[in-house]
Amino acid sequence: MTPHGLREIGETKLQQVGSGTVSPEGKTFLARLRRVRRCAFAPLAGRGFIVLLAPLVGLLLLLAISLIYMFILSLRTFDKGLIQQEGLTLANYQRFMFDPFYLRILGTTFVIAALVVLATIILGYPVAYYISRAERWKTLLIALTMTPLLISAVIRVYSWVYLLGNAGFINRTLQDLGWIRDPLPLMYNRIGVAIGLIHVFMPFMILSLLAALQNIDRNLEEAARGLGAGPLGAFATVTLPLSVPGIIAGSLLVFTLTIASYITPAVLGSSADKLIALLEYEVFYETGNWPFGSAIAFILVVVSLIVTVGYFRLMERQMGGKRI
Amino acid sequence: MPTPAVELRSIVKRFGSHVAVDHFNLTVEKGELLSLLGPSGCGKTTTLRIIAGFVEPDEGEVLVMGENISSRPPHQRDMGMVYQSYALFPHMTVFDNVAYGLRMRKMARDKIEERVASVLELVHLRQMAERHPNQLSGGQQQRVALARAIAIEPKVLLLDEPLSNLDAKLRREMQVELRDLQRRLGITTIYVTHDQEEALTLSDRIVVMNSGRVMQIGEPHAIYRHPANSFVSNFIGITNILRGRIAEVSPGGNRAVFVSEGGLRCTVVLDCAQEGLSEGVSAAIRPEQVQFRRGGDIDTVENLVHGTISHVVYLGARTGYYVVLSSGERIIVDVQNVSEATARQAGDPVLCCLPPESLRLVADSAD
Repeated sequence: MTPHGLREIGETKLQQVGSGTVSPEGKTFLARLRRVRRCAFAPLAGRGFIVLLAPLVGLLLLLAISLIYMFILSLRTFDKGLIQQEGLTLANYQRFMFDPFYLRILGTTFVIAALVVLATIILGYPVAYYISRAERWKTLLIALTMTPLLISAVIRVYSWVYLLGNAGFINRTLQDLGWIRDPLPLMYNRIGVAIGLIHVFMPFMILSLLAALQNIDRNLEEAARGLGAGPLGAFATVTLPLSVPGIIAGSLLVFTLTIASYITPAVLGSSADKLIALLEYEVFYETGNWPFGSAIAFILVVVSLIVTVGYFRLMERQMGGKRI
Repeated sequence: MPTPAVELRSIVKRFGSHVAVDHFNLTVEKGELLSLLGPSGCGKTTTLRIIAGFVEPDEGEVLVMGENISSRPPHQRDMGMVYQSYALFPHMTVFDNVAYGLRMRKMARDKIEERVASVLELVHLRQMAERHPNQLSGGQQQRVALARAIAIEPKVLLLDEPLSNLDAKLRREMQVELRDLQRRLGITTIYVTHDQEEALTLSDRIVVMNSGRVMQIGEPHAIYRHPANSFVSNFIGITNILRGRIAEVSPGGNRAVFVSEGGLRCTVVLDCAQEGLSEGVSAAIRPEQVQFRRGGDIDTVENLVHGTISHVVYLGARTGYYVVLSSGERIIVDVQNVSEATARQAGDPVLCCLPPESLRLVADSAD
């Protein structure tokens, strides 16, 4: 007898008990039934979490403890070049939040992140759509979209230097063709940073979109067309709305990755228009002011958390009535 | 003769080297429910999708009410399609789903509300208008899909195995409802299914297909009683097939003697449809037509043969007996379970009668 079959019998019997119609023989049967159920599931009963214990502990040690340490560090002062071991203060946070210089850096970071998210959506959606509809080359195409991740970050970023520089490949070719006279400023500014970041984070967006698009029933777009929608109309009214969870997931990923990015902005950006990760580097390594650096790090963590929570709230609202 | 609602002229569709639809010709009368019936891979769904416009045929034309629509894209063909997986838009309410086609046709808002309400009423789902598809049961979802297709008052209704995902009881209920609705609205309907019982229940006419070709077209009764070849006879219902040859034909041409491979001699009554059969034929008889007789009938009844029961299958209303005949061939005999007294067991000897009128000669069709 399967556990399921047992449960059905058990439920019928329980109903009978409820109505007071079970005989003494029936009551022994129920007792035996309960014992059998407990034995069948005993190995796991209440002990399922043991399997999780090992990875949980590892995770806790690595993440939580280091985060807690950093948090405490952010509350200390940096006095005469030394990290004070006593006294808690919010001075570091205040220093960041009330100085327009630092706030501008945070703002720049968000602006570029938003730009990168937007660009990856616009450029990545057609690619993801095409791959989702591809029959034979799907695996190959997915592998191709992952190529930015297959190269070391440093090599990748210096390849961009080669392409984008004033004497770089793009400018030289355009000059040779006679299309431009002076080189285009594609590097050491926001444009260069954006290009580099879009390139490296595109796979994340494409794969998120692809996952969402593949989950959409193939027949839906067809049904829409049969009902009178042209190909564009069918896409706009059916496929696009249903792919929004993918867009949101991809945006979350790209956003949190962008605001923490270091190498690309470091090499391709200007030192006057910094992103927050560069500021961090300077504070930690050049000034040695770990408490302040930790505070900046934590502000970043909080921002990421707010964005992530916002994402989940959005998804909940989406799933509420219109579950995909 | 009135213009047929749908006409397919010599449609051919190849996928690589595989011919999915092979010079397919068909006319569908206005208001009739026609089924495309056949095993998986016979080309019935491909044919349906060619009619709908989602697949372009390599050769041939599709006509609707006499007009050649072969080059028209699906959204201009004015057909309603119902899918096996329902294909309801999950992000829209039932109302929005049904109204979709009407909105695409830029109908006025109040007219849309009227039409959607009346169509939902037809499928008994008026109160579910504001629900989402994931809040409905399978049967309800299928009815919404149907409502969505008929809301646009299409010229042709196309159904692709719409009831396959429902359990048996619900299927039977939906079959009746569907038939009722179709008759009331008078919409020309083409129905694809691999379930021959379903085709027999619903259709005005059935097209039996195999390997992209038409095996037989006809009314359900005609197809069941007079299958044109062994494929049809095998596919529709269960049939006992005895291979063999014709030994003699009576001078009047209305009786023949059939000899099976195992040496069984039977008299067969021929009807006009069976003339012109060559030597290599099979004799077919339905399990319910074989009779169990008693020893005393030996001299009075034709086509008696001894056998032994090898297997008994109890089916509630009927019992199927697997019998090995003295000629070595195996047949199935279906007996209605009228009383317990007539029940037999494996190993019992039996005397089978294959009435001459019930035996049909069929040509061995190409597989």
